Amino acid sequence: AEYGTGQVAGEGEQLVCGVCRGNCFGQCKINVHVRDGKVVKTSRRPFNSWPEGGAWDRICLRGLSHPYTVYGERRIQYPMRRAGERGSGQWERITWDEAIKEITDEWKRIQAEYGDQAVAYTRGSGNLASINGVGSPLFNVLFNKINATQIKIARDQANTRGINRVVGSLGDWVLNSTQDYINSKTVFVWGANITDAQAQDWPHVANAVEAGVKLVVIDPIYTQLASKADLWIPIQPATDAALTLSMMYVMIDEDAINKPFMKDHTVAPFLVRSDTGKFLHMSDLGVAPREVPVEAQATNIDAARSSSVNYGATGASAGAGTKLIDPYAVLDADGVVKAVEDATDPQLEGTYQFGDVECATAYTLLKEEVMQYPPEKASDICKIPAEDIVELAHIALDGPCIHRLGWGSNSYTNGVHAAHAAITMAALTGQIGYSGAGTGACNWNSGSGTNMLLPNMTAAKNPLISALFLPEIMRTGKYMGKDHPIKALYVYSGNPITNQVNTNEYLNDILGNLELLVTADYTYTDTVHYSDIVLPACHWFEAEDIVLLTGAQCYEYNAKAIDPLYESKTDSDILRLLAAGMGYPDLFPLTDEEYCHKILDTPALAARGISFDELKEKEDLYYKSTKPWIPWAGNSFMTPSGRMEFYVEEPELQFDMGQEYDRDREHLPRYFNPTEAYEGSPQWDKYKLILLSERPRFRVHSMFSDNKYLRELDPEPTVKINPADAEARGLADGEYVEVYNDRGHAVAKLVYNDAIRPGCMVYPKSWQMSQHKAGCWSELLTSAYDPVGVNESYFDNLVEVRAWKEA
Amino acid sequence: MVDKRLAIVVDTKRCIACNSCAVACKIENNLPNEVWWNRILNVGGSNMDSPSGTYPNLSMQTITLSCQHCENPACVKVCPVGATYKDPETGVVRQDYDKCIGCRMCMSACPYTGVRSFNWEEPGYHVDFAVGDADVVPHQKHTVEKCTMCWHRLAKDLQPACMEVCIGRARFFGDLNDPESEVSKLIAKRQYIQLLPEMGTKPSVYYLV
Amino acid sequence: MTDTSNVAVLDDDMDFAPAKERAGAKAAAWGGRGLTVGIGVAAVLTAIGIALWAVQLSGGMVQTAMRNLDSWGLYITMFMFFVGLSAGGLIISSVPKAFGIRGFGGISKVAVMSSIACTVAAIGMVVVDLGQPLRLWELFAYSNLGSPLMWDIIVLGTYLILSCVYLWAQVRAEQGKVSHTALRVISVVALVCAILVHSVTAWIFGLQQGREMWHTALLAPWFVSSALVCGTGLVMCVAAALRAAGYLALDQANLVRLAKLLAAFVLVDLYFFGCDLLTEAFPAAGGLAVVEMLTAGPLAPFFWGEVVLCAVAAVICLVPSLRTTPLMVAAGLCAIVAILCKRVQLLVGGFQIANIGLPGPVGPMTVTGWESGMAGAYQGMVYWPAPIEWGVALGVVALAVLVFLLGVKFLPLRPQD
Ligand SMILES: Nc1nc2c(c(=O)[nH]1)N[C@H]1C(S)=C(S)[C@@H](COP(=O)(O)OP(=O)(O)OC[C@H]3O[C@@H](n4cnc5c(=O)[nH]c(N)nc54)[C@H](O)[C@@H]3O)O[C@H]1N2
Ligand SMILES: Nc1nc2c(c(=O)[nH]1)N[C@H]1C(S)=C(S)[C@@H](COP(=O)(O)OP(=O)(O)OC[C@H]3O[C@@H](n4cnc5c(=O)[nH]c(N)nc54)[C@H](O)[C@@H]3O)O[C@H]1N2
Ligand code: SF4
Ligand code: SF4
Ligand code: SF4
Ligand code: SF4
Ligand code: SF4
Ligand SMILES: [Mo]
Repeated sequence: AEYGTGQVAGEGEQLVCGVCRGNCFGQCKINVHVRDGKVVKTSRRPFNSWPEGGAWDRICLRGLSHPYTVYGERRIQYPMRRAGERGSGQWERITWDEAIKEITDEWKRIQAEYGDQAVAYTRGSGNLASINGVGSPLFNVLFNKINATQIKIARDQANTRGINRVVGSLGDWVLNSTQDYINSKTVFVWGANITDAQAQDWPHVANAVEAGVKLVVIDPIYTQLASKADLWIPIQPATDAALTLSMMYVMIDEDAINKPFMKDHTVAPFLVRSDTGKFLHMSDLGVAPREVPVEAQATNIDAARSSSVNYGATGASAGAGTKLIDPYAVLDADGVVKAVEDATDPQLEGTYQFGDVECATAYTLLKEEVMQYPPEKASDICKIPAEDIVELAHIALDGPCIHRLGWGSNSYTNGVHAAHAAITMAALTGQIGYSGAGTGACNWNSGSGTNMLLPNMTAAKNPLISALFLPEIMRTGKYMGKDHPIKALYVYSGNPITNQVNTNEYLNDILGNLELLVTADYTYTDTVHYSDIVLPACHWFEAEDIVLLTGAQCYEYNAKAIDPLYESKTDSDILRLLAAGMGYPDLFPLTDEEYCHKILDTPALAARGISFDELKEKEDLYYKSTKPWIPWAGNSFMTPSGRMEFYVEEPELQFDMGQEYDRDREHLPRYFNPTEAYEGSPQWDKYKLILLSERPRFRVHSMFSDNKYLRELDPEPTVKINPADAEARGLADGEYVEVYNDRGHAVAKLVYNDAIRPGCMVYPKSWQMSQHKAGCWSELLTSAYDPVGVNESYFDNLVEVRAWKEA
Repeated sequence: MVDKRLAIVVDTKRCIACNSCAVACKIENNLPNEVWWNRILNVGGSNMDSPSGTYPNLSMQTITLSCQHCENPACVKVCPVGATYKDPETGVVRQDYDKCIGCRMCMSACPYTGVRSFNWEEPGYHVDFAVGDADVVPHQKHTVEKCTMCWHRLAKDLQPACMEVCIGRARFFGDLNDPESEVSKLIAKRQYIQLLPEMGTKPSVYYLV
Repeated sequence: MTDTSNVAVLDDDMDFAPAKERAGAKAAAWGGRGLTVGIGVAAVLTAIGIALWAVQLSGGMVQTAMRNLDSWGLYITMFMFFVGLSAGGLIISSVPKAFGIRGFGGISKVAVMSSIACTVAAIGMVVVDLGQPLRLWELFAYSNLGSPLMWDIIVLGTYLILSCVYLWAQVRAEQGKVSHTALRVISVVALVCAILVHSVTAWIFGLQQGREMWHTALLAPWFVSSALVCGTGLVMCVAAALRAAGYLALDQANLVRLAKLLAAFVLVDLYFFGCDLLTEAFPAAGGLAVVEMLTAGPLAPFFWGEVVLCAVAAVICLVPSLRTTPLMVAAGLCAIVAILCKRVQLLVGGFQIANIGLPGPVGPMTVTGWESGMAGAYQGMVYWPAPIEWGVALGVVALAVLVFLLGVKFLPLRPQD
């Protein structure tokens, strides 16, 4: 017989449909093997939506290690109250009743004393599910009800911001499905470590490469992916924008840009007023805007389109009505300024004197910027040969090409512009919106048509606050100039103390000013360690749930495999208890199953044959309109003009706390230095190594960090260095070193590795503090942020390294 | 019936050293602590994921190493009691824990460094019940073990666990004596290397390069 | 070089006069308090060794320094060594009888007794190395006759039995119960068996295609020559010691003849060593690494130790003016230690170069010095024994000493006077 793939249930064994769902962008469907009531194994479970195997049914080493995650030593078993000093690790076991009473009494006291906003809640991305995870609107139901403040993690937003401000939003991370890569001629990977961080996408990339698609990897580090590439561009960190601008220089210089596309689908011909920085409209020229009717917007909002939304806050529906149409003015071939619709041949280049206001086409302005980056100059900045830049431009012109942007350039304070530049290049080539052509971060976004407006959902009274603003708010007690003290924080599905930048600031300014930190988790994390009260949450396999934002672009069903272990409770049950404690025993009138129905049983989904019952039966349901999905097909962009607005009229801030920013700079993609990670930065005298992190294949952030199966393979914190840099500092392979800067330090084992760019160090991220001999990686990270992106810039750091002598 | 020669083909161009096959093997076979029948090794530098060459002129390759189920196994010849033996019907080199006297002849005989492991102590486990497949033979102290080619799965007409999970879709399994099998076709079509061919063991693992 | 070729056909220590038989038997019960103390100490050490062995078995061999990549250690080193040592006595004793040449003056039976003791030690070393000694019976039930280990077990067992028979035969011959011819036949068989034992032990290593260092056709003859070196060294030391203890009288000339023999064996052994090194190194392929590892790598102390000690032994034995009793004993000791160095080189050396030394995950069961990774583990000697191994090995040695001393005390091993 042929030996097939698959799994069979042994005697007395059950195969339950589960979903592995940490934030690795995988959300793999897996078999949870249950024997004698125990999870004995996990294995891959095929997607029904992809009978041809196109989703690459999968499970990785982490997903395989769940038996330990469920039963591990560090599992939190019962509610605990801090017994000693914060962070002393001394605990007292308490009952659920005591815990809930203590938390809600404190919340009530704090709210009475400091105002409702003083109770805050935040999450990371520990569970992507929609009942008990970060995609769940249930949290908003409770916390909006008590007018708490939602703190939003500030991450993964720079590339999104840079791209979405040009094309509009179909979600935070939007690109052609990986299955479509095979239809391109070249796949450019800009700072995405696909082979480690999105391994579930690798087989698609590998298929493309096998089929002859060229792979170009732009990364300072020689990653596994780089080793598979046809061309690896070892770029100087934080200089992607300069490289992209220079590629555009070559395209323009060689007159190889796609002019018809630019005229039809971009703002290139639009005239920009030098006084306001805005597009010239026909109304400016005295043509009155037209009024047109618009249809009512659906009240449904998409599930977890971005990593964090407050469903209550964004849930208001836009009613039917009318809107004004004020056409954009362009310069026609005959030299006359006309409405863009009326022009026969809108000019890409040119200026126009509008009264005393000078106007130039958006393309003219872009070109001015681009022409500052001839390859020779970019070569100096990016530290790559000028010929390579020319070659890259030629490859990029010879489309269709996919440009996949990862979180490399996203992790510096100039990251928004790297993405802005990349998507602008797509505007010049027109390679977007069709098979094999696209620019964006990975394709990880949800479907539409779900309903997040659950019963008793109220609108949020307080604004969503970025976690990056939190230290300042905690120090001053003010937000946007007004009193806004925060005194209690509830953390679920997240481990901010390990994963957020600048740990010492977090511990001092945030924690130091908190009166109550409550964490719900199933494992003992750094955040748990510093908490006042800890609540034992369930592991994913211990409750039924739905996952609506997934790497396979399917809604997925997670059946309950085992009963909650020890005294753990589902997050939804914890919410029910907290609601009762706050005086709202009827806030959650439905069971979890009924909530699943509420979320999925919408008319919009029904029209596509999707419902909760259907999902339960089929386990997974594809939620995109086409397979593979090609965003921006038909080139209708979700911008005011419907075009690619590479010239940004009014830059939107990711979060607004009244921070200052340079509006002019934001109009166009530009290259400028990041905050710290460049030669000659203010810290350069003291520190000469740029510190980068790596998404470890042995963890998803801090998840699995205590998993003993994986620890056998990867036992302790390490940091990689180019041997030349190590030898210059007299450091030997394998010795313990202290990496340090003004903000803090971390001790790890030094690993010689020629893949590391000289001048850089790379650490596999997210070991818990207790796993380091001293310090931790996040201590070293800057909390400086770009005022527009308001994004944590994990790589924008300089450090030095020295031998570590154990005290 | 023609006897089989079951073989593993690993496409190093698709393998990304993710270690999933190693972990799958670990759990499926309920391997004791610190025992790994399948390990991911780096060809190039002196550490995991480290390339050879000097930045930026670098190259890197990965080898997943487990028992090669040699056609001419060095281990079988030296075992004094036949505790390691070749299954004539499949070519799988098997291990009988109950028979093994723990002399470790096979360990020094096998040229493929580290594919055999000895339980130097009473097998310990990270969780207090047996994980993996229920039909896996229990491990024993002071005996030698190694990749069984997932014999318990072959018995159910299933491919080995490490094939099933491979993230890179880089692992292939089948019968080399069947010219129509995927593995036969792959090695007919692609360039491959074998490990230590000069040892004359005729390994049944092929690495496509 | 030596004069053994033209010695008269004469038995060394055998007097077939029946009259002396009772006296000979009487002589068996020899030894004063010193011997009794010796026996006591050996017995205690043996008991400690057995206790430690029990600890090793119950607590696990994880207590040894052996690991997956260096899966044999002190025990197998000592096994090789004792097999070698055992040779000497038997060969020294049987060669003269087998070929009808002059012997070495009264030491024949003691020499065989030392062989027996060494064989016991060798077998003991294998047994303590086994993970599942209780399954030893399987060797007979499921014997894989293709396995060199199986051959070795058969040959070693035969060898032990033969040695006993041979000893018994000599005693009986003294009593006139065994004919000279029969004794001669037995001695020839014993001699062949001795050679076989060394060859087969060598094949345990030499037939392994997986280890560059071991895989050489020379290994068997070389094992024989090494056995002769240390065996002769041992006989010399034992003889001198017993003479000093007054157990037997020994002509200085016999000691000198042994020394001359030793010199010849050392030179042959060094010759093999040279041949092997050249063959390894000449193709400048994998073998070169072996040679480099030996001469300049972590095993260099053992390599140079062997070379220097052999040279010293040879010089002492070849220069007539140096052949004083203390120096000859020193030469014997040098020869023994030199061969011990050789055994260490062979065993550790076989593991010192990993065929597939690629970096990957390593753990506490992979290799002894795993903490510093694959590269780090091979920085020095990949293996060095753990305390328990020293203890258990010492116990096995003590057992051998015990056997020997008991023999000395209770068996009629003294030459008749
Ligand atoms: N140095 C450095 N730091 C970084 C980054 C970097 O590149 N470098 N990257 C950053 C990025 S992009 C991200 S997204 C963040 C991720 O940061 P986090 O979202 O904080 O990541 P995790 O460590 O996965 O934390 C998730 C926690 O949720 C818990 N959990 C899982 N499921 C459940 C559940 O159902 N209920 C409850 N209550 N808890 C659950 C897990 O046990 C775990 O402790 O890290 C950031 N930190
Ligand atoms: N196993 C695992 N997978 C994960 C995660 C995990 O923790 N573990 N985390 C998940 C999460 S939340 C996220 S956000 C994603 C992020 O996944 P990725 O996008 O892969 O992000 P990083 O690994 O942070 O950085 C990607 C690459 O950018 C390179 N790089 C650094 N600086 C620059 C630069 O200036 N320019 C360019 N071009 N490249 C640069 C780095 O060397 C790295 O190889 O991964 C997800 N996947
Ligand atoms: S950790 Fe991520 S890639 Fe691995 S199985 Fe889970 S969801 Fe899939
Ligand atoms: S790889 Fe080693 S253990 Fe496996 S069959 Fe070949 S010789 Fe035997
Ligand atoms: S250790 Fe076991 S399997 Fe290996 S040779 Fe000895 S008896 Fe055979
Ligand atoms: S075939 Fe089975 S036993 Fe062998 S390496 Fe693969 S998973 Fe492990
Ligand atoms: S699972 Fe596949 S890709 Fe991953 S290490 Fe194993 S062979 Fe390579
Ligand atoms: Mo992220």
